[in-house]
Amino acid sequence: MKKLISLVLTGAMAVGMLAGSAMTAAADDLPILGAGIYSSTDNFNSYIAKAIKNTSEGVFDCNVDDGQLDQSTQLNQIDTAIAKGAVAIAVSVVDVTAAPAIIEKVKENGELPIIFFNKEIEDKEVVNSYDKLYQVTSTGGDYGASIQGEMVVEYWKAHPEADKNGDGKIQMIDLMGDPGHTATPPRAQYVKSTIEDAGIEIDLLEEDTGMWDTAKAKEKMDAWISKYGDEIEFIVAANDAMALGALQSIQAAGFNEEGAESEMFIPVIGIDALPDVLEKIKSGEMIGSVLQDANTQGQMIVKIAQNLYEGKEPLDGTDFEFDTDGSKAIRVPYKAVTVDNVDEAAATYEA
Amino acid sequence: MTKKVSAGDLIKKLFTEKIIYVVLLALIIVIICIEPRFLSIINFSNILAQSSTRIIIALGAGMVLMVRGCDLSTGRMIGLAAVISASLLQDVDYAYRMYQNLPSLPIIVPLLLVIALCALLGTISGTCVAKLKVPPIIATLAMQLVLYGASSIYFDREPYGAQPIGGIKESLTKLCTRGVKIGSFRLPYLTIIAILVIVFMWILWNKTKFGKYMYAVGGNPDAAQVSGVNVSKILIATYALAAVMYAVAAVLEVGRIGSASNTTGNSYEMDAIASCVVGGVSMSGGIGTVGGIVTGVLIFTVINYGLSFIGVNMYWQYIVKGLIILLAVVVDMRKFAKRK
Repeated sequence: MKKLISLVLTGAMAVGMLAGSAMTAAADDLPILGAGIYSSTDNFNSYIAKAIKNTSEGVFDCNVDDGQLDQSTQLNQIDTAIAKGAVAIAVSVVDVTAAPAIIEKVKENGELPIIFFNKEIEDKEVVNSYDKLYQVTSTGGDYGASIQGEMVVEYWKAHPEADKNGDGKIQMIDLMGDPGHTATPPRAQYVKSTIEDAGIEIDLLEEDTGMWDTAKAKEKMDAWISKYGDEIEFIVAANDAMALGALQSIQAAGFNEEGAESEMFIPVIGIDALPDVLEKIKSGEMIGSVLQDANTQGQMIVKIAQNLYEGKEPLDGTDFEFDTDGSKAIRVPYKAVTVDNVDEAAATYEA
Repeated sequence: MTKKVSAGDLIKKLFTEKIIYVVLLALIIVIICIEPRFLSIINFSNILAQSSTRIIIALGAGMVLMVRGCDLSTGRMIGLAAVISASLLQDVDYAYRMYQNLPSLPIIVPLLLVIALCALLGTISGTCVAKLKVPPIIATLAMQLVLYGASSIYFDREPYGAQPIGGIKESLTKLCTRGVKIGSFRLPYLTIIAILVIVFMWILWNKTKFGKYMYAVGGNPDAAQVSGVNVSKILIATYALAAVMYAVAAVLEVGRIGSASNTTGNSYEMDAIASCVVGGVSMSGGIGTVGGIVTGVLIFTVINYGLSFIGVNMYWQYIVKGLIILLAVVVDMRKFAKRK
């Protein structure tokens, strides 16, 4: 029995290897771009991955690896890509402190261009340790939270009735992300500091992590909505998944049912502009979200790789410029999404 | 048979075997002291609603524990069943449907589909354990990985990529978020469903031959085999039935959360196992009751909900939960030691 099983397994592996080599042989006309994201559980990274794949069509033979939140897995994937003959590497690193190890690899293997995206390498010494290193990230270190804060301020000023108890302060709930994630502290800080800088006081009713997760956020909100009810004047979530969970929870308590026309209404705002959220913005159930432009980032990553491969200047033929802070990064701006431009945001999902 | 129980014995029992209930009571009292608003009907209703799907999941996972197994694939199986059922339950007017031309399906169709799928997957796990003698933790760990891969493949694809599958039809979301009004109390529909499942499981465990055999196999597989029980059949059926529970819970989770993604269900097995252990299910098999598991789940929900309610942050909640699990296992081991 055991022998039979091992025989079958060996057979299957042999077939798999043959099929694998046949596949690589078929696509050897195009140069290989070795791309990797830190985790496919991150929606935004998956979106960049999709944009990279789409843009690579006809330019690169490109497969995007999933680092599965594990730096050693990702380093192995980069080794594999280099061994396959990649002409450039593009990664969102699992752990930014692993950047020197990755740079070492591409340096030793024929000085390949390396493009870091999504998670920025902030150590300038590391960034400048290699010529062919570039970065593609979103604007600023606030991860879109300043724009979210501005949207809160704008809504607050345009809707005096939102100040339910008339004390001039925002009675606010803040759902934070996973505490281990780089974007979590800045998102929590910048949204509040932007509101306060605009001269509006915040009365923070509750602030806790929803772990980026719809179900967890809903469960937190269940407790809070029963505790505070209509005292809550704003719900700010660090991503849309949690905003959706909070919305689900307050709707079960009778809020926001008919969108903005509801008698009982609590403005909810998130970040990411997920398709589901765009629908909620259209129907008035949520007031807005912030779009991180994955399409443009993916296109820029491929464009830079292509330029470098062809021996041109990295930003040849694009509208972007490198940030002047020595990070060799281009910064793709976040966009505010409200009911006014929701269709524009929806267009990013059509491609 | 009336037994005289002295006050001393009772107190002793309270602080040994029943210590978990004492801790729960103490926690509730502390929560109420800090925040008297906790004592409201809405909170009670919320706790019931949040416990409902967890009870269904824990009863499934508990069955596997009873036969000396340990199902690590619980969460990912729920994830797979959730993304599949969510993709088939999107509202026809929703703009980002996975299947643009799919007609509106009654809830029962995707439900039966994922039940069948999970039953098959559970049968595979069960067969690996019963026939191929793979240790349960390894068999279900392998299953967990395969299922996560499968649900990610299903989830992350055209036309919209790795976005939570939203726009779930209202008939399901209403079923999972509303309830029957009884005076000022709202009994969640979810809880009614959970009660039906509890009754079904209670009868199955206590009043059927299958239930008796399940306890027998868990208590002592060799003895069960000798006395003519088809041990492999019982094992396979247990894993399959547990998987059916996960499928039912998955569809309800989709309605409750209003969306599904490949992270849905992540680590639910740990919550389920912890609830079972706290509810008195022995990790060495053969011991456990439906009532105990339900209590175990309620304890965790009260902790979750109550600590959030009084604003204790997540980190402390983890510590409290960890200590309670440890306490429960220590009590369990003492019981076990005494029996020996």
